[in-house]
Amino acid sequence: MGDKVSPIEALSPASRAWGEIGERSEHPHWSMVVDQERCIGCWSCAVICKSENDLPLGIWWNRILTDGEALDQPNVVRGGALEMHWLPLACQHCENAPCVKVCPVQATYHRDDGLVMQDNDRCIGCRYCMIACPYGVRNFNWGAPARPTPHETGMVAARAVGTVEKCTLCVHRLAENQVPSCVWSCPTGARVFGDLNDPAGRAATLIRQREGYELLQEAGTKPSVHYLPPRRRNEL
Amino acid sequence: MGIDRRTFLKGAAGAAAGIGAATVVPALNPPPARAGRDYDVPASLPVDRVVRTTCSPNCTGSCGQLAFVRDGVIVKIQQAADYPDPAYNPRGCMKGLSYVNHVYGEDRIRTPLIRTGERGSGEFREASWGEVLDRIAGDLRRIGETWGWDTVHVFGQVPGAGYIQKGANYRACATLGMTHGTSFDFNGDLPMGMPITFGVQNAEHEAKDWANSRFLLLVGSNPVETRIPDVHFIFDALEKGARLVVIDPSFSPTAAKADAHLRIKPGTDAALALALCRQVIEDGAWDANFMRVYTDAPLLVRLDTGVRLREADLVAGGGAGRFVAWDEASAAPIVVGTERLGFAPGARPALEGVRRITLADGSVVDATPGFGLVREELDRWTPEAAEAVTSVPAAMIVKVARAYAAAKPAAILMGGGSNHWYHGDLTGRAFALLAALTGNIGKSGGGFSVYVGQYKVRVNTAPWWNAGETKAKVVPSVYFVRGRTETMHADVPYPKNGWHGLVCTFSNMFVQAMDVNRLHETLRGLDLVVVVDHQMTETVKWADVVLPATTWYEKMDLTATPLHPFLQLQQAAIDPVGEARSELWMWREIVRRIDPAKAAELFGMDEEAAIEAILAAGGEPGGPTQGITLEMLKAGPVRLNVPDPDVAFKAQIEDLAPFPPRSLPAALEKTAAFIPTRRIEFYKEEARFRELGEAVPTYRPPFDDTVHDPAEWPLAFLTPHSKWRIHSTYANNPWLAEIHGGKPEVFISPEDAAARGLATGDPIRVWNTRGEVVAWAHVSESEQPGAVTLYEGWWPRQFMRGKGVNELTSSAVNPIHEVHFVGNMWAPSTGWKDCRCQVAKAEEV
Repeated sequence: MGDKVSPIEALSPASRAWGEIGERSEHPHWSMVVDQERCIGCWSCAVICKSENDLPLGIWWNRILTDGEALDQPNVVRGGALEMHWLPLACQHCENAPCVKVCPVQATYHRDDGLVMQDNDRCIGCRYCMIACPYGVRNFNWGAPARPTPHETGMVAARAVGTVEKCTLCVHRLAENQVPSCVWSCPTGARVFGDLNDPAGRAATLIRQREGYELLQEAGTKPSVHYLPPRRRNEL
Repeated sequence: MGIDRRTFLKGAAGAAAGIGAATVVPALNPPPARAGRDYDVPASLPVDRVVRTTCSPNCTGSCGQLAFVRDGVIVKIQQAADYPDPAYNPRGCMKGLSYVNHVYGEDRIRTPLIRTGERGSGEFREASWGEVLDRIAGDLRRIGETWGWDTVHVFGQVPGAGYIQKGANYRACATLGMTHGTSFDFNGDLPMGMPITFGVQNAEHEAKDWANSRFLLLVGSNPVETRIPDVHFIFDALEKGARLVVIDPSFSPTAAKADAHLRIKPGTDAALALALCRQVIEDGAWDANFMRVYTDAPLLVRLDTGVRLREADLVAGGGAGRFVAWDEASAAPIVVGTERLGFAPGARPALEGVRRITLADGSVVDATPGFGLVREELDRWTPEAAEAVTSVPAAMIVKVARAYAAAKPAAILMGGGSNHWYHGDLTGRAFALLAALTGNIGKSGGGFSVYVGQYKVRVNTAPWWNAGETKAKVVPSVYFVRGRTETMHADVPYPKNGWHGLVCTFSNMFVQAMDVNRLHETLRGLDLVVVVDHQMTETVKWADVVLPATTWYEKMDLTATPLHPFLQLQQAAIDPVGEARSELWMWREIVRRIDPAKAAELFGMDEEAAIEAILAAGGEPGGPTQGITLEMLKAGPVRLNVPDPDVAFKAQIEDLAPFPPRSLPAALEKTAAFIPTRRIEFYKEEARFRELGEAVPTYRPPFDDTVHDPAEWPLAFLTPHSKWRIHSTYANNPWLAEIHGGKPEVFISPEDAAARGLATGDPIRVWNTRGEVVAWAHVSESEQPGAVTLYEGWWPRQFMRGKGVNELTSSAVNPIHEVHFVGNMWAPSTGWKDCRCQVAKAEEV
């Protein structure tokens, strides 16, 4: 089969430059900033996640919720007006992570850079973490993975059957200074990956300037993922 | 902020169990130590190579994609994000990212097939290439010699998604004398308002230019769902303070992003546009100078004949192609040539008023500037009159007119939602008038652009599409669906013996063509049906012979799109799956079996040679491919030799060059004949326009109302493009089906649902006199009473019953579209959305 290379090294310089992680502090705390003003609910981030991480049918580490009546259907709000927004939802990489606390075998744990990791070799499939997570973003691998293709896909190995899996912020790409694949593939620039420990960095700046918020702040989980609210309608 | 932070819990497709279940966290274990636990972090799995190609369904995206290949198979597809203009990165959407499921999925066709059962039964046996090619060559020769080669219709869809492989269709037609069909007009995407008004096939601003606009008026356009790679340019404009107004019968996801949503009654857009025009004039916010310099507004029209006054009328020996205006400065008629826009210095051409003119023969006629006739029509369209037709409140019409006129530059973006009507040409003409009245034509951030279809031929395809000097005969494919019309233009080379064969490529036409039941009647009379595809669509099931095609990950081609000006290649990342072959190879083998000499002469070129011939043919100074080589394209996208930003009609506006710019591949004189004044024409003097009362932009009620009386057929049947599909491509994608559920839904307003006892999830029958389909109801606030929406592109097997939405849609031909004929440029543009229906709760079937 010939010599294989890292999929990052195989990129042209122009493509590789698109995915470079920018400025960072000495000890970064990685964050995802999701802009609801720009999100169009297209699921490109979720589909590339599926592909990048070889997620079998039935499993999504990242989903796009419609803030509406159903998928891509609006809510009726005050005065009878219609409104609709989208909210991409994956692991929030909480600083005070309930999943980490409840795991009886310490299969889920923190890295120094803020990522909440899942060690599938340690995971015993008890799914306490799935109960504890207030965001519902953890998936249990029930059986042999089903795929539409006859071969495995993606850039990481499939997880062991009977374990819990979730967003890793594409930790395998971070090692080569590349943003997570969902950030690469968002067609509207609704995802910003950056270092919360760099107050002048784009992520921290956007959170400050655009009144960024956290999901279920009252749960006290201290997510690393932040959201920028949709814009208000302007008068003509 | 606008949303309740807890509402995100609702409305998730396939919401995971447990979401929101625990907000109090039980402390079962002490938190583990934080450090020293990154031992199990994997590196990316290595690959053999990464190949850059171009995603090429019929979507206009033309997005660069990378195929990551491991052990000879594609393991990931991701945007290349390598455009030299970073504004265009990353380009691509969830559909293209999931194409690996079509390269290898269970619907992939891997071998040639020959029909064993009845047509449509889907019963085939596998066959060798030798057998199917011999069979096709023999049948084509028999048909050609018996009925004439022109009785074979070769259908090929829009060329921008592959000038070489689709070009092979043209080359084969030119070589053998078969008839090539059309796509742009057949798809209803040809915005007939453009050739009528500007003398072009179409002309639009590159998508990047949306970001330069101060005001975006979207008409029947839903870029949040159908221009996913480009919609961010609208958000860029909004971030800089622009306003966004969306005109759409439904609350589309684009409407959700807008400052104002005008929920218009379906098919009435022209009435709204005329009222906006009238209001802009009433407010004195219009640009009379623009109308004088660039349009036919001042040219005098004879009131006795309805045609324009010519120089030849005024003086013996005068030009029949030179026109006349009334100069207020000299109080006399002046001659207006077509060499250059504008007027002689000092002239002040009148825009209104009836003048008495003495002709060369001594007779006296009354004549008035064309704009006077336009004004007469506009005067009818008070905001209140438009509200009565459109349901858009009069106050909102005034508000939008003022905001649009005040913002400079302001862009109008029209989409298929407004164009896909029998009278879509009138809508286009009326919005073009609005853009001209405000001087927005030819300006960055402005313009009137219609985005539907990857129709555009941006390179000189002549050395590949033509067989030497011989061009393929082209007949609009709507005449294949329904036969010729009485009003068909005499230049259409309709075969005198009718249709006897079909070679269908790049298309699922037995589902996706309008009025599809009528097409199936045409099908019954055919001696040979060949379908070339890589997916086992319903159309494939109606074939006599099936040829397995390659995807854009398995072959080479040259692509471009109207949305951005980058020329790109498709490049093979993997060997063809199964026995799939490229279209060029298929035609070479077929032609070789019919006429070896011609095959040797005309089909010796491979893809690379054909691309190089095209690049060379357009490589003259100022040509579209000047300085572009195949090697450059192999490395990545290359910007065509066009201005930056690429703005429609810039040369006309800045240099006073006469309209129209050339529409490739037609010769300039072909399309210039559409506008004899060589100006933007709002008055059409051709007899049929006058006979039908459409000499100036006006409004006509939806045409299907004449077939389906609204009293009996109370619902408009809207079949927009879906974000989950490109027409019927991707409908069978398992990943996407997990998101959207895989069941066709008919969106219906709460009022209409209640009147029929329908609830979400109920089986719903939708029908009219042309056909019926049974799907599932979804009661939706996004729908207005009097209309239902069923996104097109579902496969028949996904419905409860029926072939799909096109059992109901119309193939009516508007005779205005037959006044001239240039295939794909002035030809019958079909009215997919111009359709009425009735719905009722259905029995489960």
